Amino acid sequence: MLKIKDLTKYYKNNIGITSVNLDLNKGEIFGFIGPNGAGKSTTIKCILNFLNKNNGKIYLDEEEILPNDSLFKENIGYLPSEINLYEDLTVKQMIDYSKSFYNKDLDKRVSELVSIFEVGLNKKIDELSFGNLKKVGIILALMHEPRLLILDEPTSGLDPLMQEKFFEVLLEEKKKGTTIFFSSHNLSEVKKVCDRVGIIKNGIVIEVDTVKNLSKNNFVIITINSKDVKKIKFPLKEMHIKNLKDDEITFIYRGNINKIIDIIKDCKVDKLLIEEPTIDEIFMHYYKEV
Amino acid sequence: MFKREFKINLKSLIIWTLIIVFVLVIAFLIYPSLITDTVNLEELVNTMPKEILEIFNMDTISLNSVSGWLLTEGYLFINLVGSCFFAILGGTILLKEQSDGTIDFLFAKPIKKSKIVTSKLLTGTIYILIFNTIISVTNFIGLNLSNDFNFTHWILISIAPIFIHLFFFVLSMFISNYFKKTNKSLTFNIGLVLGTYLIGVISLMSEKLEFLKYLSPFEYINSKTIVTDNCLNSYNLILLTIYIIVCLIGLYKTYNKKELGL
Repeated sequence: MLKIKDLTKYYKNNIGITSVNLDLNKGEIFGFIGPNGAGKSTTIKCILNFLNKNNGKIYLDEEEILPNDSLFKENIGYLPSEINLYEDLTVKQMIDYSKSFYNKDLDKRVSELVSIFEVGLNKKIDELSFGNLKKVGIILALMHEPRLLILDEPTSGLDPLMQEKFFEVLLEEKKKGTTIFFSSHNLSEVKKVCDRVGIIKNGIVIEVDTVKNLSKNNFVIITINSKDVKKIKFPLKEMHIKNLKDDEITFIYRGNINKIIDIIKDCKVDKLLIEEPTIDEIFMHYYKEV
Repeated sequence: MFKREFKINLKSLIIWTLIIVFVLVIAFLIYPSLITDTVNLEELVNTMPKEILEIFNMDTISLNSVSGWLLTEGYLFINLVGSCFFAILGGTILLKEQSDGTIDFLFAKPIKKSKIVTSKLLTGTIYILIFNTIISVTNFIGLNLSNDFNFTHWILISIAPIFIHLFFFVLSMFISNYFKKTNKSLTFNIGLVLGTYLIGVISLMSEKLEFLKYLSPFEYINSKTIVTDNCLNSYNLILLTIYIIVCLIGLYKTYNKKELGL
């Protein structure tokens, strides 16, 4: 549905993103995660033509998005991480203004969304709290029933109840066949709703897989209790140390477990514990070590 | 989009127009009594240096009438204040979306960058026409009530400022593409208006500096030509129109390449 090929963007002398390749399927919720400054927003802004890409191609439903294209946005709903709307307008005026950009009747969908998110239509935009502003942003992104939804940190500012409602709406959209590009650094919400996840770090996509497969991907958490812990020559490149004391080390390891057993076989080990890591721990491993 | 744009800047248009109308009305009311009763302005003017008289066009236009005042100080006031307003408007109308972050909303809609520029340009152009029409009507009434109406002079001082205002509006919009914050663009553009006016003044001070007048759009439509030739200098008008077209091309080209929402 959305295909990104070799997308590269430089900022003057800095690299924003390098050779990003992604392929999103119709009706899929794709989590795009990474630490701050990893390149999530740059990728989104290149898709939407806010930024001029240095290299690469983007296709929406097999059709290439060209630099000055704008019509493709009829099929895209975008929720930026920071919502900035016209402060002189009321919520209703803001929604009406947004409706004026689309040539279809959106009244029914707008009423549904307004009642789901409990937004006061007569309130002025500059009187809204951050959370309520986010709700208006969500309505504006969803109201024209886009085929592709691009959400940048969508739940920040929403209370837990609204977050739940928001996820319900997303799952409904998914059922309708909407593809959702869900950028976040909140791992638990990604785990909750996403089918697949792309991990980006320093502008490079380092892993794309299903949440399930990522959890199964040979990752283990190893805890070793031994007085010789500091003398052991561990394969540091393949591990991410979680905890290191004088006589205990805990680390996430991805690889052949026998390699570790070989390394520690000559040491006096009091305790060896091998566990499956949580998805959060796997992501932390990617963030910190890869 | 145009409707919204037109509405949000209307308040400032009304304020700036009223300021000029207020000054003109006061001038039309007070000036006739000033020139007949209080002082002999002609004598006062004769004591001034030739260069100063040239700067205010008082070397060719007599200040001893309401129309004389309007063609000298009044005309300069309309041009200068109007240019400041339209330079401010041009410097902020496009950039504001970027600096307020609302471009994230706007450009996520199925709208071309060129359409954003066009709607803002159209707003400014209509504002310029409204602004100058109201001032022209005020001048028409004021001059007629003072029994000092000359149709040719009136129509020419009504049309000429439109060119200057349009030039500064389009130039400021173009320049604002190189700024990130509206306050910096605003300061620069007001500086540009006052700076080019000052260059025009300097160009009148010495024959050696006369070439500088080509850098000042205020000298392109000098009211001296209106009075002496009963027309606007067509060569200068063509030149000013070319400048406006060049700025327009630059504006569309740079905005199309501009990265938004950074």
